[in-house]
Amino acid sequence: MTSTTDTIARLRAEIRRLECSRAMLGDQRISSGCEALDALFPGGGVRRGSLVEWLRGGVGSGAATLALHYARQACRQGTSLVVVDRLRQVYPPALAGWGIDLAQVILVHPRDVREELWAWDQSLRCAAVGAVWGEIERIDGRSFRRLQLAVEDSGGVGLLLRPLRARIEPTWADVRLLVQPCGGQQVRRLSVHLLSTRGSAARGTVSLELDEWSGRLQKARDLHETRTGNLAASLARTTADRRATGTYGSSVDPV
Amino acid sequence: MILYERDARRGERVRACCQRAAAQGIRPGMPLAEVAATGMLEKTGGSAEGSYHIARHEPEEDRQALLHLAIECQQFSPLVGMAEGDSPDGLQMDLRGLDRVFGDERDLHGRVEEFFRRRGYFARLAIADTPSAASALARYPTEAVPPIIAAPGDRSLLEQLPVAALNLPDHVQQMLQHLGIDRLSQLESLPRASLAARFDSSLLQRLDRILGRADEVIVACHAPEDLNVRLAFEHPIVQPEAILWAIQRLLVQLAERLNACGLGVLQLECQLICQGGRSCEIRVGLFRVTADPDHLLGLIRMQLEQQRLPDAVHELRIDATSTAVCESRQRDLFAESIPRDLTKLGALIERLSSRLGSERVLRPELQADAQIERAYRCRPLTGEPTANKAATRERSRTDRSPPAAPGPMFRPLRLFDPPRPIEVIGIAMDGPPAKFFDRRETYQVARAFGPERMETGWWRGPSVRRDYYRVETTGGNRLWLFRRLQDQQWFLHGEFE
Repeated sequence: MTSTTDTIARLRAEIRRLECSRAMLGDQRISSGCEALDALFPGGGVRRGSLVEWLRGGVGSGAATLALHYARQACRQGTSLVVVDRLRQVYPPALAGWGIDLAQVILVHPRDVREELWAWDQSLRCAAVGAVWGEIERIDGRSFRRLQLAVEDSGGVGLLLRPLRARIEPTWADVRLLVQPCGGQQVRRLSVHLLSTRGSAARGTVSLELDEWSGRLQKARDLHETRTGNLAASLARTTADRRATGTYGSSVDPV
Repeated sequence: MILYERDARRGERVRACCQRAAAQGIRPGMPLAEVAATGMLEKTGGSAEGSYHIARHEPEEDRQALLHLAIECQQFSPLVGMAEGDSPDGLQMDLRGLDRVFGDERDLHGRVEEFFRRRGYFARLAIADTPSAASALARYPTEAVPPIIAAPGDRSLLEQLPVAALNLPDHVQQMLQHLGIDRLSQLESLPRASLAARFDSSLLQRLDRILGRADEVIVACHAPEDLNVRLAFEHPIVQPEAILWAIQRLLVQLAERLNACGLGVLQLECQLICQGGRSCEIRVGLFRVTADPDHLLGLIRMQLEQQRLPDAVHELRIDATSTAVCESRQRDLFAESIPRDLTKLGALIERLSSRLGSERVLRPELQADAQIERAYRCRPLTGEPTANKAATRERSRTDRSPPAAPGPMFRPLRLFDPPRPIEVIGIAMDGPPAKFFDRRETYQVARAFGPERMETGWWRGPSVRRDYYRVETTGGNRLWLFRRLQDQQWFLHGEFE
């Protein structure tokens, strides 16, 4: 039994090595500072030279906030954070509030979707950029692949904020996560679902809490096992399944 | 005509004014509001009787204009310099050995006076043995002393000058006034050793300069190098490769000139003049000063690709509109990683700015202001050397510590501009909402934090008065709402995304 799992692990590592064009980058991980969240990523934390998709499961969900935790860590060594903001809705003082040094931020306001993708591509390609953070509403497969190759080259991190409808689209991101707000709690609570990862079938869910005053991120203390279990089960169903039955997971906002 | 300057602490003050204004009692240092109160102000510069044209004082423009005059004055003397100091307000000319060209000093005086009059300036001129003496004579004309001191070494006349001519700090001048010293001759009769001990050391230095006992040099002004290149074609060209090749040739020429004076480009204008008089302009702003033709070519190419030329090009002009001293750094043998990263970042910023426009690639900065929309400002990252410096200088003077960032949970990452009006059902008149509707969605409020009241200063025009609430719905969505206090209308301003 152990030999089988060992073989699978070895093969998985082999596949990842083949898929990653820059083997010399190694396996550097960025931690958010919250172990529970990092544990959701295969290998623990966001890999340098990868893209991560954060799907928003509703308005004011907290997806951008979680992504920002990784952006902050990725720019620790004085590299720049590029914020691509086509809709002009990012509020810079809030970035500063989450501990980002605004002197490291480059705010880009592209006019249209084409310029937006171009700005993403250029920024991800630059080795002096630690992370690129921003909303991408729609992206076709080819552009997505180009972004992935760009980020692998530079060793930065691309944190893509996506709408929920992007869930059915193919992805070139290393990890795709869904962030959902959870109501009815004493503190602000979010649940993060791992929807897909490249080169592994790992799935998982974690509940996180954000402290009302300090903004500290930590694992939720009392887990509603049944609820999250149901969620994971409903999310694990394939799109074809859902189409066939014509139902959506009750806890996922239909879009 | 009134020029005003903005002082961080004292507000807008009159910096200088014309004689007519002075006759009406307007003095430098007076608050502009006081002048406005007299009702004599016409901001738009109307020439109505009894009103003044007012404008902000621009020291840098003054300096440039003076430099321009200095260069024109080189027709009289090979050595023309600006008076020393932070804000120079005079020119100095070396007249040694010029009598063969212009005749006697009185003739030259007349010519220079005529030169300025033709340009619409009223100039006060004086000729003396030393630059300091001449400028003192020009600034503090007295009946006792003629503006031209022909006899060399005639100190007795210079000693008649008032002590103000020494241009001393205010407190020293006041002290001298208290002591009853108002002429240089009185200072001269005092023992030198005690003067140095009692007053500023600059007093003796300036006194010596006026009286010709200390050496003084005039720092000559030079005309700035002409930094534009052009190329006219015999036959108009249309092929993009040919145009790029020509641009590259021009850039190499420009780079040679820039290198010769140790300068680099911050802003570049490339004009492609087409047949039929139409032209196409490409503007390139840079993050780092550079004189590298290949790099500049890359930036021009990126914009050229997006433009449609109206017709065949028959002339090219490239003009370095803004330059700065090129910083050349000696390369370290080993530690090369940080500068290399900086160059890469610079290249990225220039590429982004070049294609998207410099007003779209920005650096945010916090500002100390309670109003949400004004709590930050954005500066373009390229092509603005003077503005950047001015901004940092201003910041260091007005608020020494940068404004503190808000708490992480207090400001939303996503802000709607303008705020979206929403329908609200509330329980208490001045409390948080219980339920609200936005874009055909209904939200039930589970928890609300607030109110956080925001009011702007009455002096900034229409006032903004809002009560902000951080709201969590039953579904866990975090939103930022406010009630406009004037009319109790509710708005959705942001999402805690």
